[in-house]
Amino acid sequence: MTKVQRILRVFEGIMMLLCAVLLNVAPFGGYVIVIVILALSLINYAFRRLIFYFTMARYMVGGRSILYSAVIILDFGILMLGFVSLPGIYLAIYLGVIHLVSGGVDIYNAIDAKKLGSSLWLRGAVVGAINIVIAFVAIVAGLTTKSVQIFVVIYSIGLVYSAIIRIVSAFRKTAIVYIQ
Amino acid sequence: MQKDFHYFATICAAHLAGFDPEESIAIGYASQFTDCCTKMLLKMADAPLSAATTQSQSELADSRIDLVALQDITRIWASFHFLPRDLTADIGKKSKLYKNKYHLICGPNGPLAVDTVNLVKGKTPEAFGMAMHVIADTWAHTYFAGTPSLVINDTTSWFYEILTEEEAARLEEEKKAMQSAKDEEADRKIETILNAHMSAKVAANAAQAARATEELNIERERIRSEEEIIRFADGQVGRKVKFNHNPMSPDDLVTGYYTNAAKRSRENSIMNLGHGRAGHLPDYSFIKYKYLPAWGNYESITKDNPHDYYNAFCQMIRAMRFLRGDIGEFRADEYDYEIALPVKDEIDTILRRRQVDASKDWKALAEKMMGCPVPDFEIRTYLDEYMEADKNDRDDTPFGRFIIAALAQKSMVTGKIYNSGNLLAGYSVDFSTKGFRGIKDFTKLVIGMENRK
Repeated sequence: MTKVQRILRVFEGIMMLLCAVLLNVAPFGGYVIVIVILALSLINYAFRRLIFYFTMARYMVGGRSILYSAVIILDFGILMLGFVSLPGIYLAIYLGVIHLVSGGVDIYNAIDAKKLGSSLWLRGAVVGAINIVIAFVAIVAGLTTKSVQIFVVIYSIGLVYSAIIRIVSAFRKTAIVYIQ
Repeated sequence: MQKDFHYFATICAAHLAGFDPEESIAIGYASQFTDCCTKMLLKMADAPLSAATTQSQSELADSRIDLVALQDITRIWASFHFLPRDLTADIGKKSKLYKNKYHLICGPNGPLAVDTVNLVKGKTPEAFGMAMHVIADTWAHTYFAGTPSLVINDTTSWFYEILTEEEAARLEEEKKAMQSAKDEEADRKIETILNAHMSAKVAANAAQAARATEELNIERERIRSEEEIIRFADGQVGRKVKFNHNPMSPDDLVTGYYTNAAKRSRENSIMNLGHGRAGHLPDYSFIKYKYLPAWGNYESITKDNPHDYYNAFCQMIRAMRFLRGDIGEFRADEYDYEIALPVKDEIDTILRRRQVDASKDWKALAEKMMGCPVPDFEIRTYLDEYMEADKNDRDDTPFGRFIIAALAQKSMVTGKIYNSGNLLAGYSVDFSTKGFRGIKDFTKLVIGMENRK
């Protein structure tokens, strides 16, 4: 890792920590920030897929599917930005569905990992189960209390975890000595 | 390649190169051990983790895919199992990102293969064995890269096993026999149920329905079978390879059902490492197959393993004769066919025999050639001696010597990749100009160099 990459990783980590704090103290409701972050994440992912297509995947056999998936994800991201003006209930249901799908995928991957002999398959399965629980909580809470604050808290915890991982990985030794 | 080639066949090659049985077995052992030396094993032996020469399925499944982890994965797989053929190949106007991946495509007879053999000259049998593993794998793993990459390592459903007319007919017969045995069993079960539970009228109707279903199945099987077997423009007969993604499911050589890694559209997914998308096919000596590599611009490639494995065998003999000092220089694309000639037919038969593991055949050949028993590969042979030795003496045990050889190979390959302007295997610091920096495990190389001085 270059020094610049290390600095960037630490910077990203700090920004994520700040964001997590901001979500919980913002007076106008953290859920708007969550929507914006999620939408921007999708748009960012779509652009990364587009860059991947134009720099690499267009040279590969069947690479055009990457382009199509990028366009669809971009559509979803833009659609999500429109949720800002909608009541919280829609966000709750939307996030609920995302967590439900994500939980299903996690569990599917955990089963695959178990077949491969992974010692961490249980962690994946637990994460999947938590995602599914969150999905149900979101949908039920959204329908009954019309509140999405619980999501803001959970989303913040996820951000803190990712931030710590980034900062720690920035300090790892990576070079190898070469003796000619 | 598997234990059959990396252990038993390497012993045969070492013997033909002039090593005595004990040395030959030591070389074969180190060659196969390259497929066993995981971080988990090194941890168990309290050995430096950077000497890992492979990763178990579980280690890969648990692996992160951030930059550091990807470089670690690439160092291991590119150094020991997918040695890049040409780090500076000119592929026209393409992005640097793509070129970096493309340049890691494995293949035989590249400059790094020569460097690998030269690196172990004058070293230990453990170093020789490790180098032979690397050389042999350049033949088996050709066209795949030792780094996770969708754009290089992906394959499509257009994947055919090339068969001779006789093979195609025989396999079809075997398959039909298997299918008819299954059908008969199913019929027997149905009959039992019918006899036990149904009235005569119902049974008659059910039998009529069963007959209709059977006819339908036969027709379906006929159509499917016609679709599976195709004849290429060059006259070759191809049978479509059917992949499933269950790692627990064994490959079925009769029906042509094989296991491969599931498709993942993320460039750096671990599923896109090496030949995972082609399953174990590159590791079977008997197979010849035709497919569309992701990097191949829609041009098919035919991989002839029996031919390539024989070349690998004869190149190993050549390399080991150089290591023994019998020839002055090891050059790419030179093979000791004449030395292998007395056993050519036997080797050819083994290589072409349709089987998942040819260890038994290779072992018999090795024992016949050397006139002494060849022990089965036992992973603990290295470990026990290493773990029982005093910490200061560990480097003098076979496992200790293997570790030093592995670190040197990894250092050399990483250095060459880095110096070609490619950072996929990580950073390399030239000791002669900048002194020691980076991962501490590699101090062993510096100590070794100072001892030699």
